[in-house]
Amino acid sequence: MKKQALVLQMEGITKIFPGIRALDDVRLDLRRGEIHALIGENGAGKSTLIKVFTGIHQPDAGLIRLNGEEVEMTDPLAARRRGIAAIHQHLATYPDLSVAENIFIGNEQTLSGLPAISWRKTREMAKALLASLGSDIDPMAEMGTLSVAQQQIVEIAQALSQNAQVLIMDEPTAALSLRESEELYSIAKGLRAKGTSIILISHRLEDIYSLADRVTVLRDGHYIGTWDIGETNTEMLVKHMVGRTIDQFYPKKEAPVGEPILKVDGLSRTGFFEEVSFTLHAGEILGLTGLVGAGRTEVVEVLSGVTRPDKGHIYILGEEKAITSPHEALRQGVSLLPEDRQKQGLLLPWSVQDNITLPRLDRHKKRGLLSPGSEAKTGKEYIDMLNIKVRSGQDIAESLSGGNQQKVVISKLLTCGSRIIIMDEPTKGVDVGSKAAIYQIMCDLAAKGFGILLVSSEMPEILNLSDRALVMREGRISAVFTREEMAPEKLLKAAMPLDKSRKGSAEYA
Amino acid sequence: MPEKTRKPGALSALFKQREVGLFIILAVLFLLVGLRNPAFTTGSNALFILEDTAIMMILALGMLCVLLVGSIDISIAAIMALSTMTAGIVMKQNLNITEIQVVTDGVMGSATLRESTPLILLVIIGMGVGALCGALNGLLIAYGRVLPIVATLGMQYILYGVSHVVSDGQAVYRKDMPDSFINLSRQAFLGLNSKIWFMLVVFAVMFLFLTYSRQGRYLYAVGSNRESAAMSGIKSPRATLIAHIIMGMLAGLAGLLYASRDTKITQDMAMGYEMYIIASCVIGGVSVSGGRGKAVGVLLGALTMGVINNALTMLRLTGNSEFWKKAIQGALILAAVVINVIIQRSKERRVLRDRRI
Repeated sequence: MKKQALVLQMEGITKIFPGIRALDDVRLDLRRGEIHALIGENGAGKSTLIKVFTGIHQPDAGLIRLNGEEVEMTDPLAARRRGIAAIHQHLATYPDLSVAENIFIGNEQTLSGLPAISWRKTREMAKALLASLGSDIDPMAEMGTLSVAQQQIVEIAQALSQNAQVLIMDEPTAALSLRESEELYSIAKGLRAKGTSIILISHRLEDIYSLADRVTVLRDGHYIGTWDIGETNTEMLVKHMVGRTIDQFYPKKEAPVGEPILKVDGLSRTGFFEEVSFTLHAGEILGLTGLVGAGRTEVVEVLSGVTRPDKGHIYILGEEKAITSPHEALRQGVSLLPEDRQKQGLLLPWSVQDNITLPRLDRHKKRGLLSPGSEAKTGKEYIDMLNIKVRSGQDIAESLSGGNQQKVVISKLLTCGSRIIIMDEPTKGVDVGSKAAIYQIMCDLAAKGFGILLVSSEMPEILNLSDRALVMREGRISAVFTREEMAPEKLLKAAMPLDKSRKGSAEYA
Repeated sequence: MPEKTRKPGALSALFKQREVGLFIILAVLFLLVGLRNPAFTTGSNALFILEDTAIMMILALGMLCVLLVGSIDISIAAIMALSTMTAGIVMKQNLNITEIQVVTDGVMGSATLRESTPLILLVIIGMGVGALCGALNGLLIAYGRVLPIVATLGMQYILYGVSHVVSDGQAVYRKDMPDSFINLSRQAFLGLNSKIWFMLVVFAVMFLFLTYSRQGRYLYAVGSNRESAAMSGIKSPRATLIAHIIMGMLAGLAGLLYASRDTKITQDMAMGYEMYIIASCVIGGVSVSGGRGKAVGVLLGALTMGVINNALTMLRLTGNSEFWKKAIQGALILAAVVINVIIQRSKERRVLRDRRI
């Protein structure tokens, strides 16, 4: 039963990374001129599947057919030559190069008959492409000076410039305003009408319902199923994605909320966020959410001493403090669980126990020398307490799974005796089982009187774990919700950028 | 309120260029020294400075390529020594001195004619050996994944060792050189010394390569974001290799000019030069983390180094003390870098203030 010709078939795709089976016998087929949604939780394997398809990763098993012909995507260029373009989740741009050059890199516009790049042609074609997207970005501006939303538009222009037969959009609207998203979707529909096939990855189910023709669900690297969009409903898709009920997943305990331990007043950092004020209490999980580029990460960087604010005050336990360095932050009792735990939170080649004892080595000194016995004892204590899955404390941190690595980083924070713990995307890239374990730890810590600032872009996390939630938009706190007030639509509305057609206030004066 | 977007004028477009700050520093420096010693600002002294820095400029243009891809080469003096020494040994062994009779104003006299391997061949040998050394650096860094600073530091020792073996510990002096080689750095054309011409040709080729060729732009792309480059299908190891080969070739050329100027080839020629070259690039606005830098900026950077050097000699501030000269030179280099960074940072702050969050 062939309704439309298949552009793409992927069968039995398996991809193994050290320690993780990222994709296990996954399949996907794509018809000509359809928008096919690919959904699943973070870590379900969506991005890995895309990377296999675009030649960034080589699969360990499985085959790819393009227009019925078996192909091998040996490298990204091979995929591009076959008319496959991708807009990746993380901006893949060159901050030092111009907008026009970013659009045409790898596809340079040359002077006719010569191998030399024509900058005039590049500039004019870029301007035309951007205009077709309704954007007036200067093609000669340096990419690094644009906002995230503008950079994303440039990426879309880049994909369009290649006249792709298959276009992959990985969370393309995450940083766009509603108006920009709608424009993007009308472009997507226009492309579909012209016969382009689109794979759409989005967390926003409403996007999927308004756009997609069919939907494929992945969970934990496995293929769950493919349905026509009309046969599905939200509950069913969520059930397939999560594979368990919400209650098992979020072990939220009601903890008594105590005295304020961290108060931030009018904090600003020029170009990143303005006038941020909030209070964190003992025993509270305070959610902080917003779109990519809204300024969450930058607030966290200031609180943990990585960067300095331009204005504002920070009070810890009622006293004003200047947090001048990460070391100073730790001394004041503010710990950060960094988003990129591999780069910032762990010394990967070190053993688990050495990582755990590193922040407070002074406690393991005997007569000026380190005592391995004392280190091993502390290591074991935390391994047992957080149920870190290792053979011994001597295991190398690099050999652990993402979730267990995260637990090691949390152990480090606990040894410092901090009362304020900032968790920046604590479950990013963590498998589902470890996610639940991390939530458990988080709730236990809150119950013990720690104050937790949970920074997350995953709405379910914010909704189910936090006592209160702050939403950031365009560098400012746009809304605060109590646990009772919280609802997905409200959070989303507060996070979405104001319509930018209302120029003047948003534009620079 | 309808706002008219004004077309940026030529002047403001010019001021957006990162190189402008440097140009101002250079002009101020030039004028300040000129106040103390008017001889400094004469055209002939300006030409002298240019001639004096031409070799440094050639090297700095090579270093630009290497820095653009996010690499570095601290073995350039060793590459210069080995490639020039190789050419020197070839010229020494093929040297042929003949006495000839010449008649000048009706008087008979004798002159010596010093001939050896054709100059063009010597240049090819020098640049070829340089390219080979650069390729080794590039292979180690791009495919062997050795840290650039470690790889080129190791190569530096190896190359010095090899040039010792090749030369048997002997230097090559003027008496071993053919006339053609001695004249290589001494000829003038249209009033400009040949070293300046070499530099201008290298600059022109490099400017065209970096601005209009794909491979040239890929050097920027790789240094700007290696992961994106991989996704766009740009082969970053290849770009790194190419950058190092260019650096090696230009080190070979610079070494020949240097040896011709000093009429001497020793194993420790140009020792410590790499730091001047890297400093020229940094003053010229090249980012040592890659992706940023222009050929024009590098020339201005090298020129700033030359002016500082020349001014210290002209002002005789330090008497004959080499120590104080070096110390002041170092302080001025730091000042130039810091001022340039401050100017750039204030520009970036302005951009940040203007951007939408």
